[in-house]
Amino acid sequence: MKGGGWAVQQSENKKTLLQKLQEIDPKWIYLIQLIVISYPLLYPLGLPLGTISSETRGLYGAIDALPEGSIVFHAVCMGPAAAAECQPSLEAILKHDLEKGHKLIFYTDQAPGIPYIEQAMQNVLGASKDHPDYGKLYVNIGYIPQTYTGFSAFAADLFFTGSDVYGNDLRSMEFFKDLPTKTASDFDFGITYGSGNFQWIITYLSDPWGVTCGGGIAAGIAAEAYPFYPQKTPGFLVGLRGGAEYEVLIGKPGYAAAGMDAQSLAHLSIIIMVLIGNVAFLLSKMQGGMQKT
Amino acid sequence: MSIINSELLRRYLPWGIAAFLIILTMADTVVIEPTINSLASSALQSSTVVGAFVVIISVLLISRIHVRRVSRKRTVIESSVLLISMWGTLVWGFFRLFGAGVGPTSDTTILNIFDMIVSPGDSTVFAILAFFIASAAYRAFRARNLDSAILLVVAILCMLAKAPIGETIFGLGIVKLTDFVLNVANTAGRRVFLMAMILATIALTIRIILGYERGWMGRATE
Amino acid sequence: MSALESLVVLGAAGMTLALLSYLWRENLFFRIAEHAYMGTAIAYGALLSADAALRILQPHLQKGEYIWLLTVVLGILYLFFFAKQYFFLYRYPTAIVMATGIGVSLARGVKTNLLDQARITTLVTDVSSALIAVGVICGIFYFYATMEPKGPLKAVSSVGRWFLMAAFGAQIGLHVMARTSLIIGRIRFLFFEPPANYMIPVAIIMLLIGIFMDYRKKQP
Repeated sequence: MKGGGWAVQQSENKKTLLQKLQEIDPKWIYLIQLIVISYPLLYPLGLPLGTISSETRGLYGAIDALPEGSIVFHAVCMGPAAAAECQPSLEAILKHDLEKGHKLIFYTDQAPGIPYIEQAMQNVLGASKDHPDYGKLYVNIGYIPQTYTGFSAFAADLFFTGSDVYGNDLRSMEFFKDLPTKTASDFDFGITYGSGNFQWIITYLSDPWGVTCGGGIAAGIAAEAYPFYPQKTPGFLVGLRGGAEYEVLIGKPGYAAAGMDAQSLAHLSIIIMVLIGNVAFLLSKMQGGMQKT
Repeated sequence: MSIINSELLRRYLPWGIAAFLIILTMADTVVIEPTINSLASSALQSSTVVGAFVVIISVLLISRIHVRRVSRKRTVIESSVLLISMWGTLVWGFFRLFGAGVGPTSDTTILNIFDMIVSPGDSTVFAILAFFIASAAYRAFRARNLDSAILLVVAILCMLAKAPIGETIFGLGIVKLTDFVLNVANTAGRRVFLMAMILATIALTIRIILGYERGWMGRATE
Repeated sequence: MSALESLVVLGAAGMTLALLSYLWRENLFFRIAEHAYMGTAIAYGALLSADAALRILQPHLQKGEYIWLLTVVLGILYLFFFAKQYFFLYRYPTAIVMATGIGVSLARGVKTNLLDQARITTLVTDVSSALIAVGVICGIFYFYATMEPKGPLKAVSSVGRWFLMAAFGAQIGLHVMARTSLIIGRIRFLFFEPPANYMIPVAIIMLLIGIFMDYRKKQP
């Protein structure tokens, strides 16, 4: 028999809109995110990239100022998790280096980094070990385990590994012939990529060996790079956005620039969700306060 | 007590080696003396080779865990997949490396395994965090007090300014504001973390040299 | 594109979709993909480590410096991690690797992360650098104050905490950007890398079957 008890039960079971908003099934949020990221990839919005950041301009200016024949050290310390962000930056910087006639030396402290060096060399230089200038203008040292000790040993003696990643003897390469000290101080610029940390290249290459260093780093660790900017580093690229900015600066928009629309909508959707959640939270707090009084 | 079971070999010698190498490698960075520099250089190079073997522990530990699971008939399919994929790759890779002299960076099969399994696996495992972050941001990012409000506002500023949409909607002002926050507030906070971390490392190193820190030695009963 | 390359791309797409299926719920496909990834990743890392160690040792062995074989012996001592009676032998390679790592990072870290950062903080030339100096001093006070701050010191501690919160907020905001870039990369691969896009309808059909089966299970 329906009575007052039933009516009270009904109102207790009925959640308010605010409560429902705060307890939404996460699967709806995943679906919204999926749609918001996929749509602009299929149907680009054409949002302008906007102002190029000073960090990106700093790195671009520093690399642009290097004369022809300068040795640029690329520490491609990234795995698949960071490659989506840092590979476009790596390729954009390599294109710039190629234009300026710089000599390139590659290294990685992570086993999965080697295929990304290969991919970048194939995409930008056209070939890796089979390139006619490999051994003269380009060298791929490959993987050295133990990031800090391994790199320190390599920096003190560039022939530490004896051979490059393909097994070619380093001492017989023309790349190293005219180097005065055969240590890291012979490098003219160093760039680190990946999601490990940025300060390692300042600590182990820039400060001890006097090499100016920058980064094409994942956005997740970019916040750590700001204490070193601009006194210790001329600049760095922040994730996919930094790669897009660099592509615009070298006049070759590519992979990174194409992903910015999706990035924009994804960020906007997360911000809107955070704001909705906070508004619902504040309103329910106010309602709870009013009910108590 | 035999020499093998003595405290000298079990505890004091490893501790002594650790303390000596810490002091040697630190001295190498501040002192220019040929003997110290060449000893430290040899120590660093040897350590690189020795450290490459640590992966043996992870391979054997994982194998032990999953063989036990298969023998106890728990997660048979998944553990079998792991064991077959791990040992299959290892056996093939070592056969090619030591047998045919072809390194894993040049072997087509290993490269295909990397492209088919490792690369998409690693990327996707971290990529699904984007969805979890969105869900967590919606359910848990609440401005409950001033501290969390500052955290939230700075996070929103960074998300807006680092994507083109921020400047499109709010103009150049938001970019300049975010640059200010990143270059001032974030820099100050990060500097505090850097300094605190290095001070903690100094304290830890002194404890290791003096023998107070023995956690790195592993099980205390042996 | 050759048949093998197509197979590799299809396999990669299958892995990606199997791992993404976790967003619906944990399932056997996700677990299989996860375990396959773990196994091959460990094996790949082990192979690269072995290759790197061999490359470093080869020139020394070719010159007749057989003392370098001691590094291999020391490396093999890691196996005693699993021994009961001779576990202590594991401490020797651990001591070498840990000590060289700490020694090399501490000496350089003190200069870069402590002395230079303190020096840069004291170079106050404008409002921004003054604010940074204030933030660093207040932040260090917040970290290291061992007594409860009272009166004006409470304000110093609060200001330090706010700067640290701003640093965390920047970290979170940029972290969101990082993860979003990753999922953009994966979805791009699925959409635009042929023949990966052929796996998408397969995955959608399997998801719909899974949703239907879950719905049937929930029905009384």
